[in-house]
Amino acid sequence: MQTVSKDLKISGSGSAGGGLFDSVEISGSGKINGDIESQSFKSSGASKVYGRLITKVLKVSGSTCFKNDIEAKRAEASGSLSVDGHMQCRFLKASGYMGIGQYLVAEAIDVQGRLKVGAYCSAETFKSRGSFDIHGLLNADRVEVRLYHRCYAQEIGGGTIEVKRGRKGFGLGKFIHSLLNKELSAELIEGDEIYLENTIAKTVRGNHVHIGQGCQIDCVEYRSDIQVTGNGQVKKSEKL
Amino acid sequence: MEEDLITKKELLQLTNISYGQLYRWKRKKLIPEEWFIRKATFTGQETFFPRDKILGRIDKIKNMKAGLSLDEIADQMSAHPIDINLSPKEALEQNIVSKTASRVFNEQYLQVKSLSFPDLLTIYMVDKALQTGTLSIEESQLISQTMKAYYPLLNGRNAELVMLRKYGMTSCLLQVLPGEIFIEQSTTIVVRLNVATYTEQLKIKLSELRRTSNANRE
Repeated sequence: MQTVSKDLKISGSGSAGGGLFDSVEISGSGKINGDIESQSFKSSGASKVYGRLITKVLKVSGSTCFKNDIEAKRAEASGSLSVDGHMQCRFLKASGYMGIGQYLVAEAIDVQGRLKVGAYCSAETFKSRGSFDIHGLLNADRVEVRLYHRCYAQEIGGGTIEVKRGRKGFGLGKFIHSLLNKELSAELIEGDEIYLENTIAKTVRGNHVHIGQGCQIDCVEYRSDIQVTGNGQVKKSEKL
Repeated sequence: MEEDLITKKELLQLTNISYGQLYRWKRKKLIPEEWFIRKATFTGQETFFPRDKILGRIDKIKNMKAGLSLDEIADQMSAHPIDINLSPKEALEQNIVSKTASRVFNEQYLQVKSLSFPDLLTIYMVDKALQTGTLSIEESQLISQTMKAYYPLLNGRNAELVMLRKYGMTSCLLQVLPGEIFIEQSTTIVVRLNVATYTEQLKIKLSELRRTSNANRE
């Protein structure tokens, strides 16, 4: 591919067709109607992209809406980001709200705030502080969840899975924190090392399984050992 | 046709791999999605696998793991074409395709100078189809026509090439998998070729070729 140095800048209100760019910067309200390929894509304010986006760096703040798929190396989102298609990237850092219509694939996912994924979500490391809603399999080598609100994944599978309650805040934060429903629910959780708190699941299968405070598990199947602490409840457990 | 299935539990015990490994291989697409068969049992949802396929695959991954990274193995096993160009002469000499099959291809597409992966795959599949002895050389041209036209549209999805015959008339179709076809009774299936299977076989052949040519250079 030939190298072109073309920049696209929209400030105020404007729209563009798409194409091949070095950098894309949108502030204010921008609209991009076609596919776009760039080195960096930055948007603040409200923007809408109707085509596919392929970029090295993606930075969005404010409210950005992608009607198609995203492919990025490094993605950082704050505010509200919604993607109707799927998203594929290496590093994803998000805070605020992020909603993806189809699947999400990345190497490292670090989310603070709310994440919603319409299909499966897979990564090498998945970190969440806040809440998520994954309507498929959450598949990661390392899953690290700090619960601050309600979390749901149809299934969770991987190497190490750790679900802990989030820290309490101070003053008013502490009060609000105590009102929120902080639990993770899943149909099935499978992994080698599993540590759970405040989790409601039908089946948990693993090598070393630790069921902690606030858990309600229907069935645990383990290979090496199981440990139940606090007021964790396990209806049935079976050593394989 | 009921396939012999194996539960995930049994599989892990039998092959001595961990949940972490299985999920990692699934992430890297070393194990195709369609092999994860979900069924409700009295103990809740269970995942089953086609026994022979999955055991063979895990054996293969374990063997390949010694020399290759997971990404390299994934490349080998994916349905995506690899970047390669061989001259028809090379392809013949290295026994990647047979004389008959490449003649079929050459007659249709004149003397092509270099064969890309899709071309090689097409010739390879024509070859395999001819080896079954159920179709004529003229009929095998339908395979290369179908592949040439529709393989690019697959985009990494698996498919099956099906050849049908009724009253001596032959036709060919490419069906994206997983899926089923139901055929009216007086029509016979001449040959069915799974694209992923041959993609994998061809990739193994090509990687052997690359290794030997690298060794020769050194």
